[in-house]
Amino acid sequence: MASFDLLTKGQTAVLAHQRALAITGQNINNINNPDYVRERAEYVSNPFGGLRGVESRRMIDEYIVGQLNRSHMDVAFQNGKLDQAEPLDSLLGNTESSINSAVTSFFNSVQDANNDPSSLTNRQVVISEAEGLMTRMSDFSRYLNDQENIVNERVRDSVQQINTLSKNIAELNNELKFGSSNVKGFDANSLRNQRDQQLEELSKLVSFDVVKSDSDAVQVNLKNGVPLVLKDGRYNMITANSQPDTGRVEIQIESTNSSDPTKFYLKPDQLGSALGGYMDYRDNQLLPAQRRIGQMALRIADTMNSQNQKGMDLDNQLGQKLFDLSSTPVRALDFEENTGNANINVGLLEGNSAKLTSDNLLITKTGADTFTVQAADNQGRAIKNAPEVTISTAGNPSAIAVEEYGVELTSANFSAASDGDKFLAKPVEDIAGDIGVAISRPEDLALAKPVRVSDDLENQGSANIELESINGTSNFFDAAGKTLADGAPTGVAVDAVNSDGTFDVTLSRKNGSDITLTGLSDLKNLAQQANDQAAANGNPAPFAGSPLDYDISINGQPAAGDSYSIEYNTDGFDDNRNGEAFTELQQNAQLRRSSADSDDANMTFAEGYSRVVSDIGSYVQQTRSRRDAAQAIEAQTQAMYEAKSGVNLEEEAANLIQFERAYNAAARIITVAQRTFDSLLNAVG
Amino acid sequence: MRISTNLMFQRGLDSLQRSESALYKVQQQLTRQTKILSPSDDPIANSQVMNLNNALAQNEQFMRNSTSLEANLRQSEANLDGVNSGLQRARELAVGVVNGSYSADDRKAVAKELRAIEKQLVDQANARDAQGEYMFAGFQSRKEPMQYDASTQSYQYVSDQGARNIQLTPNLKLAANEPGSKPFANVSQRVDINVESGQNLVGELRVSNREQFTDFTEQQQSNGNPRDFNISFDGAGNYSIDDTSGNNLASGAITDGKISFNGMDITLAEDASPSASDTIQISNGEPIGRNPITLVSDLAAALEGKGTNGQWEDEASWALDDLNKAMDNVVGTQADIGARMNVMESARTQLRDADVVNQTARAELADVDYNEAVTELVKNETLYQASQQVFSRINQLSLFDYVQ
Repeated sequence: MASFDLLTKGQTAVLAHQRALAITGQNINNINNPDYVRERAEYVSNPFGGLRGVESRRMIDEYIVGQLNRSHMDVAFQNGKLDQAEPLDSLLGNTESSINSAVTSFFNSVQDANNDPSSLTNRQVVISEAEGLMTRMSDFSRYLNDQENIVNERVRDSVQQINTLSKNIAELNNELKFGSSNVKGFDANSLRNQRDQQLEELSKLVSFDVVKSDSDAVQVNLKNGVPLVLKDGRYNMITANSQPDTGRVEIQIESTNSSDPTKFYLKPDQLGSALGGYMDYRDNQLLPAQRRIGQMALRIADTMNSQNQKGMDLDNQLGQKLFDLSSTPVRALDFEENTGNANINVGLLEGNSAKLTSDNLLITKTGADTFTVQAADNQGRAIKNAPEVTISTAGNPSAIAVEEYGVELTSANFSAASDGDKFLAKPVEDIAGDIGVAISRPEDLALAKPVRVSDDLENQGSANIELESINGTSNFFDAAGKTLADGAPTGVAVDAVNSDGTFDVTLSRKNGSDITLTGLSDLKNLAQQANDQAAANGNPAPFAGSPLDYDISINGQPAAGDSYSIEYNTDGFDDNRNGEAFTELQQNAQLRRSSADSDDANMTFAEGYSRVVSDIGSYVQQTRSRRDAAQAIEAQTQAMYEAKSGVNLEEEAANLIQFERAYNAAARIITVAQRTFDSLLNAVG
Repeated sequence: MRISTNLMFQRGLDSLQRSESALYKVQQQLTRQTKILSPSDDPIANSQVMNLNNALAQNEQFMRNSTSLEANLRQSEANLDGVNSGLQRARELAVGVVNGSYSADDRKAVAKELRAIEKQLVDQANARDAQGEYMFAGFQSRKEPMQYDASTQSYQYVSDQGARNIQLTPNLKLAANEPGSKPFANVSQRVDINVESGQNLVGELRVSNREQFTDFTEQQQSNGNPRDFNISFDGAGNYSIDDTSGNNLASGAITDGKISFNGMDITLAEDASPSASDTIQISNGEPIGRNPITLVSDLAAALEGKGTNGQWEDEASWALDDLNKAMDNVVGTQADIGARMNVMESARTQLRDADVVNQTARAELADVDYNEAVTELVKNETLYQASQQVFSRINQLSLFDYVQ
């Protein structure tokens, strides 16, 4: 009947418009709710004609959501890198307290001491500066260490959060799958909103892909394909674990719902987002910077030690070491799958460390009594192009020198390692704090050379004797006696100047017989010439050592009868020749740039430090611009998302008016329907 | 495109934050006076600035070194001036002795003054610098370089020939001190001659050609023969000279009461007529190198009456030659010092020029251009204000205000 129809129609209309108003109200309620996705009132037609009712449709574009999450991952990745990189960059930008200024001021203090070598004050300043330098390097090292701890903490926290989020998503999956088909009036939309919000949170921590299914459950896969959350409500947990040493954090995924959890190691470059950012910074900037500073500290200490030992101090003694490196050898870490039980320590090869590299070293046992040593990265994988050195432990020595990498391997039991055992040694990581200053008395600084030469005052010729550089002190010096050792060259006498321009000379030795050399064409490096002549005649070399501790040359034109003497530089306190050699350390290349090829030392200390600063600087600069680009894309994508799913108050206001009118009109239908019914009743009586 | 309410707020906020951080950056640049707030702002420029800073610091150190060098050189030069004036005075006195006719008392007076000059020369040779170290002592600066050797009765240089180098540029090092062996080098040699026996026969013993005599003595020494010799006579006016090992060195007839041998002239005493049993024994000391101090001392000793008769005349004429040589040595050393001061000055100029170049380069790379920065500041301020105004205006609009 028409009136019933009308009533029904009115009723449907009122209910529908009421529902529409409710939806609009809900939209307005949730204007400030960031997780809320706009719902639109949709008028659904009855298949037989007319209105069936109003349904709410969640206005969301899954593709845009996926894109937005991916842009979150990008931004979080770049920000994760910058999180600790920016503070480090600012710290390095502070030039007054930088390591570079400490190195400069140390070498400047050596120059001041050189200007007045017997002044105790200047020498004391050198010692203080040396301590200051080591302290600054170790402070910086400690700062980097602290940063590493922070990064590791962040990684652990992120992992915990990821696990919580995975669990939540899995639960929501369950509820949506089972709930939607069973419970009527069940607000699936709000659950979907929650799940999307959890996914958005997750995207800021780790990279993933979402696979949809018809059953409204989603599967979340990590970048390497391993599933984090499964459709059936199960989820996998990740843990922060590490191999081979437990101080470092690596990510490992293991399944919770099976009795035998299989582990997959996730490589840091597969993680993406914040987690990947932290690890990228840690592995590619933080640890290399740490190692480079360690390399610099060890090389400064070693070169200064070697140079001091070639000089003479204010007590007329041969110089000792300036820095104490005895605490610097580190234990090489065993890989988890090792079967043997050897303990190998790796330390600096003192006096011969020019090829010390700023990378870690991988030591592998390849056969009975043979090991290979090769430069390795953070994970213990060998670096391409780095030379592989084979060493033999036959005869079970306790120490083996590896000159190719400037280190020394020591062990009580090399033979206890099994074939295939691998060890990762980190000889330059976090080492600066372990270097101590070994001298405290200003007299112990050896600025003088231990030998001096002089021309006899009665010489008629116009030649001078010159001392070639000091190469060592093991053969020609009697350290305890503070004098030259037996067998050291102590004088040169020119016997004759021959008509063909050659010379006959006699070299005198301390407590040894004189050596006569005839027919010399030049008077350079006389001790070496004496050794060469003896070798040519099949006799033992008169002067021990190779290279010789020192050698002498006569420059100019001597006359027959001229003589020259060489003596221990007793009381030579105004001598600064060894101090000059110290200052040259600053200008010469002392650091090996890379482990690739067989690089020799080819950077000065200043260049080495500058490399650390500019590497961090470029990293931050590039990452910032990538982050800015990623943020621009994120903003764009956010705008697209908001365009689809965001609430607009103006629109809701307009809708309110529209639905209110419609509601009023619908209510009127009922009134009219009632009136027609009443008038029908009245008409019938 | 549909805009949600949230998006509008977000956008407004974003633009406010952006302007704020741009303002902050400009503020930082102005207060810290550098464009490069941290290495990431411009890694390449930063690394160049670091290199320039290193070069500037190094040049500063070199300038400090040059101050120390200058002090050392000036002090040495001043001392050598004093030495020179002492030697000049000694020479004047020697000229007076040679030309004038001085009595024995006059000669003694001259000797007194020479002794004073000798003392002054020793003091100057053993001069100490401000740190209390001996300036002319080579490497062994805590020991007096000029010491009196009683066995040879002369001052000898006992230190070494080392020189301390001071660095002025990466490639230039200059010696800061002179070992005393240069300005106080030996200029001649002397042999101490003593008549051991037969003094009554000897009237006068002079050495007219000292080079010849010292050469002879050295020759004897290097041949392993003794330096001392005896003059024996045959009573018939002939003499024979043999060294104390018995080698015959010379023989001949006494002419006019004189015997000449290798630059030594012996005039026999007036009434002497040596018989075959008479011998004159002459002993010769080892040839000793004479540095300026020794020669002044020797002259003073001769004028005081030591040595053989008439020796003071020889000594005085030798002194003239030797003093000239000695003054040449001193002046030569001073010239050396002067040359080094010149090189130092030009090194300083070089350092200052390099500093200017480096500072300019650094300023170009890192310094803030105030005009640019202040313009940026004003621009960002304006942008910030504009963002604020736009934000407040847009967010005042709402449809709900118009719907009752």
